[in-house]
Amino acid sequence: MRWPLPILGLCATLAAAPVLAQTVVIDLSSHKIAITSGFTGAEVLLFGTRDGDGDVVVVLRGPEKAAVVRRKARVAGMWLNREEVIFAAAPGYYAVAASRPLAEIADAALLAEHRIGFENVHLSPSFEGSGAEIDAFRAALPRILERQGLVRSAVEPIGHVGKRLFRTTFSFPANVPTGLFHADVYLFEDGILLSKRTAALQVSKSGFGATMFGFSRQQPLLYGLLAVAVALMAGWLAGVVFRKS
Amino acid sequence: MDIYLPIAEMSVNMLLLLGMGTAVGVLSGLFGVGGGFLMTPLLIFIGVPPPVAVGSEANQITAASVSGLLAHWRRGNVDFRMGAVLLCGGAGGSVFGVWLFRQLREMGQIDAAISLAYVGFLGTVGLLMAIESANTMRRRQKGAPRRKLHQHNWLHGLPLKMRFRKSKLYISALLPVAIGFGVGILAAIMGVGGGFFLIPAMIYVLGMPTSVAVGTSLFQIIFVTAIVTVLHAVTNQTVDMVLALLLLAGAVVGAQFGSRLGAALRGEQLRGLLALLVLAVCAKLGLDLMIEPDEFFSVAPVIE
Repeated sequence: MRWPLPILGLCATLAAAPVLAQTVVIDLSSHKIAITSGFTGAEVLLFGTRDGDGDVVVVLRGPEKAAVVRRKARVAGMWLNREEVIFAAAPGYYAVAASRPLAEIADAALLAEHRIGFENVHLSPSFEGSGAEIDAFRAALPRILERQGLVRSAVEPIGHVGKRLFRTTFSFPANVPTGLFHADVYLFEDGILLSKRTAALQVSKSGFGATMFGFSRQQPLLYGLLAVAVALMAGWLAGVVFRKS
Repeated sequence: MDIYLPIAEMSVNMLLLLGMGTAVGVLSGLFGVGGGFLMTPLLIFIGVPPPVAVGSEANQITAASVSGLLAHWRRGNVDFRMGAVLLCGGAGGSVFGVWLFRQLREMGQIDAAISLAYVGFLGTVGLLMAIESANTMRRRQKGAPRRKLHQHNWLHGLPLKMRFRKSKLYISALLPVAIGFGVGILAAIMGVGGGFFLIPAMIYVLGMPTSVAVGTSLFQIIFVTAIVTVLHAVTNQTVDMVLALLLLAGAVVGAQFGSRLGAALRGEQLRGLLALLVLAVCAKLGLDLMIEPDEFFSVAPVIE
């Protein structure tokens, strides 16, 4: 069978495209963070290699969850929560690392398209109020999450080892949410996105604490009864121990 | 040594929790109080979410009251009939209190409501205690006669009268039911046993003998805090058993020291000290509500 030349040419181009896309290879130092009884936070190292002189950008995103942002106002001499705005998909974690300042790597539209940088995260508020009002709440969310160690507004540097190897570290506080995290690695060259790779990271409770947490959510009545039974036993035991001494 | 609390979802120094348990245990042994009214604010001060502090502290108080109840039971100081009537009100009050707690939580007002409840409650109790201990000290100096304890008033004219043999009373059952209801609400919203409110009410309003009042209040507190624990576990999922047990371990040891220390000190001076402590905690909570915060915004997960 004979193929017309233009189609052969197209095939060659398609075959070449994956080769171009595979110019970055990455992995994480661990793919699972276990929140055990002794958990005080964790660090994960992301490392990889690239071909050529492109710019590397890494975005680590935690599971999205609805969050309510409230604003305090003075009521009868006390500071109480008044207005609230619900954001349907607040990020559980967000951090960016890049080999150069983002503005030098690609233009704003491309960064926005790939949601690189916290200002490009879609926060979709529950209602559309006047722009300035919503903006105050929209600005408060990352500020508070950053204080809790769950958002990095500053772009972290990426360390390069030689020409090909790169590495960066992400740290997670003890209050890190559970769920599936994604590390997206983008390779840019001359403002063009060449390639994207994703690595998954699972954060889950583990061991005794996980059992307790799961039990309290799945069987809350039994959990409550167990809590009372344990309390009665512990109280009785304490009474017996100290009566004899 | 840090420990991750599974329900509070935070990492806390274990020695800090044991130390807090011991300190509050010493105070409770010293003053003969449960200590929930001090422990819950302390937990809030170290950053435990207020709803978890309340739910877990209710659980801890159940445990802390057991050995006291057994001791009073052996001495025959528990009026079970009175306890059961109080408990009818207490169960109703806990259900109402936990429902209210849930509503306030959805409205985003629970943290302020807990603080406000403490400010009102501790402020009143602290002032009353300060006045009482000042009066006692003055009376001791002057040697004035004591007032009659059990006085009849309009409250004793209510219907549905019941006889309580152990308390040597023939009064309307509505009174203990109402008092129990109030204590149930306090337990649900503040994570306290409510002995602070219950014992004076039993002695001064109902007219029960002091010895029976203490044993019977423990009976009521165990059941009410147990009901509150189960209701919070089901409705709000804010009972952290690990936290409750760590606090208990400290409190049990502390209470032993406290009761020995208490025997060596004078009563009204102790009460004066406790009054100062109560007023200090009250002032801290009140100031936190009134001082302009650095950050006006807060973020919380949406409650389904």
